[in-house]
This record gives sequence, C-alpha cells and structure tokens, in this order.
Amino acid sequence: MSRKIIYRLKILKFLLILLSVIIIWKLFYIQVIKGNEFKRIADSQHQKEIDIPAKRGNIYDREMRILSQDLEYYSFGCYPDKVENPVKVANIFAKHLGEKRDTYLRKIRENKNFVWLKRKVEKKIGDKIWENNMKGVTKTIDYSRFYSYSNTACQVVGFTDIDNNGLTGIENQYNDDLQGKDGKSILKVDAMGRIFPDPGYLYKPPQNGSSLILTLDLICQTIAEEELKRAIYESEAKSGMVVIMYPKGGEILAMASFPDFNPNSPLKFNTYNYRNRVIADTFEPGSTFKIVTASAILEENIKKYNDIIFCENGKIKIYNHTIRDVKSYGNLTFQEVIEKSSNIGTLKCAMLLGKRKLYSYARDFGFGNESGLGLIGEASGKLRKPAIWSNLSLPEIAIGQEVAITAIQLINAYAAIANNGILMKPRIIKAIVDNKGKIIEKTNPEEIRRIISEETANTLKSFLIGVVEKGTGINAKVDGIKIAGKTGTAQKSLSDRPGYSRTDVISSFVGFWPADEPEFVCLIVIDTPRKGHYSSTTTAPAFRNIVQRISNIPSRNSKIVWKNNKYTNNKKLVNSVRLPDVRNLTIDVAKKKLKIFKDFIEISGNGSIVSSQEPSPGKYLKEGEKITLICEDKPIKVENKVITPNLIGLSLRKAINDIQLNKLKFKVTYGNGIVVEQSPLPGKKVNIGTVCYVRCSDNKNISRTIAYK
Amino acid sequence: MKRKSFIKNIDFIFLIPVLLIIVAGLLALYSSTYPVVTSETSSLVYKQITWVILGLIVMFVMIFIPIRVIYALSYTLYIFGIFLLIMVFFIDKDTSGTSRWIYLFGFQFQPSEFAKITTIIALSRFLAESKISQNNVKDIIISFVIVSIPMILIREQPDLGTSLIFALFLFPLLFWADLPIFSLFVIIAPFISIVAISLSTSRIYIFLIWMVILTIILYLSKKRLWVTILNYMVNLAVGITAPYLWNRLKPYQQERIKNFLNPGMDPRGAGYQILQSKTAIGSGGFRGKSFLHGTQSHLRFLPEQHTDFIFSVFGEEFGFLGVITILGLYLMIIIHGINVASFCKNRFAGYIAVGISSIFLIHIFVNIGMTVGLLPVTGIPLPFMTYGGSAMISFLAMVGLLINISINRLKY
Repeated sequence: MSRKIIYRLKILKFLLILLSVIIIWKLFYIQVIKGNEFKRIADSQHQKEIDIPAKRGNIYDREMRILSQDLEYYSFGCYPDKVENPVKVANIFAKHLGEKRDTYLRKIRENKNFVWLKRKVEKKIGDKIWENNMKGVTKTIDYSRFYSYSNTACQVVGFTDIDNNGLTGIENQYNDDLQGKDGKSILKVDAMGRIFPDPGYLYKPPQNGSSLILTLDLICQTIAEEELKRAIYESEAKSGMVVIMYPKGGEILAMASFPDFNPNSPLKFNTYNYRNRVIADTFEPGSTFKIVTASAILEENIKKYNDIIFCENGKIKIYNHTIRDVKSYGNLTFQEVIEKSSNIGTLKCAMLLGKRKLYSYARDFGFGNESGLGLIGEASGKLRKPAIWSNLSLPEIAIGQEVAITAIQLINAYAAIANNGILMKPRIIKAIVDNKGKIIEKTNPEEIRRIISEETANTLKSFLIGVVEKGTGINAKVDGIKIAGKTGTAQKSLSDRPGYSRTDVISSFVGFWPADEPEFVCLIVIDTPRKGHYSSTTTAPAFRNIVQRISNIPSRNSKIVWKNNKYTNNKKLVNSVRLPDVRNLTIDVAKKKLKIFKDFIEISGNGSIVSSQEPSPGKYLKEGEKITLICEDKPIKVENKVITPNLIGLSLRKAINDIQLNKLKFKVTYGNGIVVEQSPLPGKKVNIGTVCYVRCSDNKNISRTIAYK
Repeated sequence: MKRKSFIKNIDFIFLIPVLLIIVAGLLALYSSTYPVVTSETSSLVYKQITWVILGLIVMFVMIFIPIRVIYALSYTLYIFGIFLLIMVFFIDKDTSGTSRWIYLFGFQFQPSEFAKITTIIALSRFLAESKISQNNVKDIIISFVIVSIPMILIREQPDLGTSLIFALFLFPLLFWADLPIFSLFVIIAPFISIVAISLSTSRIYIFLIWMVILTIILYLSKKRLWVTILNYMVNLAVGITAPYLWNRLKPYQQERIKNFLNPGMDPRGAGYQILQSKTAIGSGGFRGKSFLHGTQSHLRFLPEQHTDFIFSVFGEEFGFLGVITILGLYLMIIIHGINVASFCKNRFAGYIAVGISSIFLIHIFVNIGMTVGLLPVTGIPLPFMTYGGSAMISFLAMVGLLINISINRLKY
C-alpha cells in the first residue's frame, strides 16, 4: 500500500468520524438531553384529556319532590372522514330528530376534523339513534338543568347557565355543593383525531353533586303563588310577594315574588323578575309594624289590654304635623286600638314608651338586621338609631312609617309572636345530602332570642285574633279556623321629593293559624294596588284563600310532619303494594284485608257485600286516589271470568301470587328469575282456573322495559 | 469443497451488519404499520420481505459476476441506465406530477436507483484510466459530464434529492482518484461562496469571513499569481451575482428554495414533518419506548413513516441505544468498504468500492440528518431500512459488488 493511499484513507476516515460525531451528538441531544421535553410534546399530541361531566345535585322540596334536576342528554358528533355511509347516518338522524336530511349531510361533509351533529338529544331518542352502530359517530353524555315545576319557586331556586353553573338563587349560592366534581379520562388520539380508549391511562370517575332539600313545601308554594297572582291581578297591582312559614321550626314553606319567570328559559324574562323580593326588597310596613309597638307597650306594662285610650276623633297634631286615622274613633281600649288599627291610639301610647324602648324592641324583633335566613342578597332594611331620630320619628315609626323592612323580617317577627315570644332563625335549607343519599348537613330549629314573655305574646295573639274576628282583617276570616292577623296599608314614600304619596300604597296582610297552636304564618304584600286601596280588601281576601286552600290539603291534615326518614325517595307504603281482591267479601272482612289502606277506603252503596272495587285488584293505588268499594246486599253471582293480570317484569314469586289471586292456575315453562313472557297475554278475559304459562329469565336484574319487547 | 471455500471467502463484515440492519428495518416497518387494521398496510411487511429476498438473490448474483465482465460492460450499462432514465419521461406521470417509475414484468421499478450503480461503475472505469492525478482539466470535465447526465435527467423527473446524491458522490471519488487537494478546493470553493452569501442576508460578515479564509488559503497554497487571482475573482463574482440572480427568481421559486433549505419556516409542510420526526425520536429517550410501543408512529403523528422517516420509528421505539447501534453497523460497512478499496489491487474495483461506500455514506447521513432536523427534507431512502423495492434491490446489489470486490481484492 502506498503512502498516498494511507493518507487518503486517513482523511476519508477522519471526515467519516467527524460526520458521525455530529450526527451522534445531535441524536444524543434530542434523545437524552431534550428527551423529556420531546416526551412531553409527544404526550400532548396523542393524549387527550376528556372531562366527564358530573351530574349536578337535585333541589328538593321538603317532601322530596324534585324542583330542579339534571336530565341526561346525549350529544352526537362525528369525525367526517371516518363516516362510512354519510347518507345512511344523515337518514337515521333525520328520521329520529325530524330535521331535514340535508342539514346533517352538510355537517358530515364539512371539511373538519370533528363536527357536532346534534347536541342535547333526549335519552330515549338518543338510544334509538345509537342502536344503529354508525362508524365515525360519537355519543357523549351531557346534562341539562330541568325545572319540573317551571315558575314555581323560581326566585328561590334560581337557574343555571348553559354550562350548568348556578346564576341566581340557591342554584348560585350552593353551586359548589350542587356541582360535584367532573371526572377525567385520558384517551389516545391519533393524528387524524380518532380516539382510542386505552385502559392503561388513568381515569377519574366524576363525583356527582350533592342535593339540597329545602324547607319549601311545593303545595304551599303553589297555593301561595297562585293566590298572590290572583290578588295582584284583581287589584291591578304592580308586583307582590308572599311568604309562608312554619313558626316553630322557623322553616320557610313558601316564598314567592311576582312577576316571576320560567327558569327553563330564563333569558326570555326581564332580569328584574329574577329578584327574590322577599329578602331583597325593603318597604315601609305601615300598620303591620304596630305589633312591635304594641308588644313593647304591653311588655313594659305601659298599658293593659283594657286601658282606655282617647283617639282624638281621628285627627291629631304633633309638632305641627297632622296624623289621621282612617275612621275617627273616640275612646278605645288598647286592644281595640290594635284591632281597629288606630294610628293615633298607637302613637299616643308610643309617646309614653319613648324612643329607646321602641328602638330596642324593633331591634329585638329583628328589624334593621339580616334575618339569618342565609340567602345571598338579603337586605337588612333601615332602622335608624334613636340618636338621629327627629321629633316626628317616634310617632311615625310606631305606626310603621320611617322604617324600611324586608318581608322576611316582618314574617319572622310575627312568627315570634305565634311562637309565644321566641324569635326563631328562619331556614330555607333543610338538609344537604351527598350523592349517595347520606346527609352531610342538616339544619335544626334555632332560637335567636326571647323577645316578649309568653303572657304578652298571648295577649298580642288575642289582639290579632280580634283583628280578624271583628277588626280590619275581617275579610281574612275563615269559618272554623281561628286566625290571628294584621292588616297594613303603608303610603309609599315619594321618590322625587320628601313626603308620602296619596294614591300609592303597599298593602300587606300578615297572620297565623290556627291561632291557638300556630302551624302557619303567612305574609302577603302587594305593591301599588289600583283597585281597593286598603289591605282589608286586597291582601286579606288573598290571605283567606291561602288559609282555606292549605287547610284543604288532604294528607297534611293541617299539621307539619317532620320525619327524619323522609330523605328517601320511596313511594309511600300504600302506593307500593298491589291491591288485593276483596270482591264478594263482606265489608268487615274486606276492611281487614285492606288494613293498610284503611285511610283511603270509600264505601258506596248500602249493602254488606262488596260487589266491585275500583281500582281493580292487582293494581297500585295512585297518590291521592281512593279505593271505592261498591257494596250491595244481594249475593251477586260469582263471575266465572277473570282478566289476566300483567305479570311481565315481576319476580316469579310475585307473579305466582298474582295468578293465584286471580283464581288462575300457573305453570312455569322456563327459568326462575323475572317473568319475560306470559300466555295468555295480559288483559284477556279467561275462565277461572285457566292455566297461565309463564316463562322467566335467568337474569334477575332484567328491567321491566326491556322485558316488554 | 467449493462451497466451503465460497462461504469462507464471503466477507461477513459486510453481510452480517447488512442483515442486522434489514431485520431492524423490518421491525420498524412492522411497528409503523402495526395498529392500522386495513389489509393494505399489513401486507407492506410481506412485500418488503419479498424485496429483501429478491435483493439477496441479486446480491449473490453480483458476487459471482467476474470483475472484468463488469469492467467490459461498464459503459454499456451506463448508457442503458441513461436510456431507462429517458424512458421514464414517456410513461404517464403519476398523480403528484412526477414520473420515476418504469413497469417491468409487472413490477414497479425506479431507474434512478439502477443509474446509481451504473454511473458509479462507469465513473470508476473512467477515473481508473484517467490522468486526474496530473490535474488534467479535460478528464475532470469528462468525469463531471458522466455524473451530470443522469443527475440532470433525474432532476427533471423531478427528484431533486436523488439528483443531489449524484453530485455528492463525485467528490470522494475525485479525491480517491488522487485529484490534487488544491484542485478539489477550487471546485468546491464556489459552492461554499454561494452558501456563505445566502447565509449573509442578515449577517454580511459571514461572506467577508469566508473571503478572508479564501485569501489565506490561496496565499498559503503558493500557486501562480494568475491562478490565485482568477480563483479569487470567480468566488467574488459568484458571491455578488448570487443575490442578484436570487432576486430575479419568481417569489414562489424563492419560497420553494427557502423551504427546502430551512424547513422550520413552513410549519405545516416540511417543518411539520421535521418537528414530528424530532418529537418521535426525542420522546424515545435513552432506552426507547420498546418495540410496538411507539405512540407517535402508531398514532400516525409521524409522516411518511415507513419510507423517509423509518429511522424515526426505530428511534422512538429503541431509543438512543438502538440508534447508535444501527449507526455503528452502518459505519462498519462504510469503513470496511474503504478498507477493501485501499487493499484492492484492481484500481477499477477500488474505485467502485469507494463509490459504493460514498453512496451509503451520503444516503445514511442525508436521511438521518433529515430526521433529526440537521438537513433539509429530501426523499432520500435509508439503505436497507426504508420501505421500497427498487432501493432495497439496488443497495443489496451494491453490497454484492462490495463482497465480490472483497473476495477478489488480491486479483489484478
């Protein structure tokens, strides 16, 4: 080998090594030094984090009726380039959803990685669409808030935005509790955006939100809202509000304002309607406030109920200011002063009481402070300190002017009187229940303070009874129910200058019943009625209607039932047991057989043997329905035909029970789980003793709906 | 007896690395087509195995062809190669507007791969008989022409990447042919000038530094004054006219060249490919994600993964360790090739050995340089790994030639 060749060899090898070193260095740099960085880039490309939405908790009323719930919807999307047969897919969607085929076809043919075909499809329809097993089409679960009772309790419950975040009311305030935690799932995604589930990746299941149980009672709420609307309509008022409370527990049974809105489509309404006026609006109460003055006077022993007060024949001049009564009175007892709502009588007594005493009683009743209800947006009202009162302030405040209060404060004050002088903390949240049904938080009746002695409270009760029996509140009287109440007609202060309007008033009525052992306190307030100036003609009749209707709620029997085991959503026992056959039995035997239904039996006819029963045997008793037994004397011919019961979906044991109840024979052809087939079919008329063949499944969990197919 | 001696003679330093690389390539190919369930892709591995078997047959044939037969046929083969390259233009263009294929007995066949071998053989014969070592200008020009004809034809297909290979393997051969270093420098200098001026668009001093280096080299080489001045003038002229010519180009032509040189500028096209390739290789880390666990390739984030970027697939799954192993095997082939050339008694065979080693070297470094973002994206295959029949057969034929030369290295 020549030296030249060796020299060339060396140079070539040197160049080769140089190139190799460059490449190896670059590989080392990318893979070892920057390796983790590229790993992150790679992960971000092929891992896709998907939120699995948590189901928002429900909002229930006290009887576990669902006011607000999340309904499960399906959202359908597709990866256009993965759809094998766009026309078929479009046809399926068009068939089930009613839109034109071309709208879907256009979407599928869009030059995009992913398109939504239809969002928030009802589950039933969605399931049918999904059955078609279309390639390239995806289904995701979406939740949407639904308010079963539309406008009912809308301001209290509030509503959510499209992402299911609470915007107003309890939905907003308890958003964190209701919301739950979204789950997460990491999926593999390829460059075309196709998703591959990979069991190796981490998955965090969603945690559904907690549910709230309110103290509201849907029936009371509905009655209150309807009567409020009616009162507003009849008096041609601007707006109004109503509250019903259970005084012993401080529980709000109904709370409503009008105008209201439908939380299922809140954006169609004025934002003004979202306002929960009961807690947020303040007004001058007028005569209803006299109860504060009266309790102070009685408690401080300034007057007794039968002390005579001269009412100046309807007109009094104080500090160059004239105050009038609606009617002119001469001498009245103190009781009559309140019953007839004499301004002059009240303020004359208040003058004896003095500023500080009146102020401190008003404070004790809860005025000038938030009620403790705990809802966001509550106003505290306006009760100025006596130091800055003018000379006129004392008489004015004594008759309920010059103070601004909220409806919740006022009703709570009356609840205190109903409660023998103890002020309770008002409550609207009864309990918070987690997604497994366990109670996380429960509110209990809480006393704030005793304001007046029981004796004084009783005296005041008798005053208020008098108001309804023979005073200004006579229009609220209901036969057979002892009602205590008070009217209030406050002139509205003018917005543009000092002083009060002559025409615009706020008319209110507050009261409780049954007066001896109050179960309900109710306040109804109407703003600026045009027909019927005084509350005796506007709110008092509305109050009467509410009392009447609540008293007519059959199951309630005018008593609030508080049971701790009511948190389950189970139907009542009587509604979950099939009715036995009592036909052809004597009434006494029939009654024994229907022992658990004893409160729901209605007997018609005057015989001693049951000839027919409605609903028929084997059926469930619906809520509010009664069993009618028609009784005749002559022994009726035993019918030798019976109607075959529906056995499908029942467990075998129950099915046999039903068959025997109907005097049929049975034969099991297959299985021992749930009945999936029967012959003869349900509803057929067959002879007694006919053999009923049933076929069962092995799977005990098969649901009734599937079994129907 | 004869068989035994044959096996003894076979140069396993060529054969074993090649076979190992082929296996690595098949693994990467299998992995890159693994998750897609369509019939088209799963058959790629079988097709490639077919190519490998065909290629090995061709390789063994090449081992037994006597060197003198190759010598005698060298120019004929060269002309036949050019004929095939011309034939390509009479065949319908494919969908992308390029025509690189010829159909032969039902097989698709890329004449440019064939032309690589024939050009090396022809050039080797010419250089073996030339007076290049005496700075014969006519011979230098002829050797350029031999390379230029196939290069231009392939450029017109158009296949810029492959045509550049032809330009590149000429220089090591000229160097091996003992062309004086100064002449080689004179030939290469204008290209460096162009690169320098194009880098100087933002930084003018790069070109100035190059001119200073050029001055020093010319001064130190102590050539005659007119040679020095002419050289200097040529490089200066290239440096000055290049920007002018550049500005004469239409904007889309400029864009195309810019994108070729700097793929990062085009993040949706070549730049995307480079980024994805680096991501795949980089995310493999030191040990790799292990076989069949490469996410970037399986989920199709890596473009052209069974052809141009097969190395990235391998790099993702086998990591830095796997990658340097492969690189080492390639270096074994190339260094052994040069060694064989240096021991070769037959000058012609020695040139072929150097030429083939250069071809391997260029393909490997251009392809791997592309996958790690050092070099522009060109469709140059990685020997023995990239999917494709023509390249596999042609590279294995070259290996056959190398083994042949190695067996016969002591014959004149």
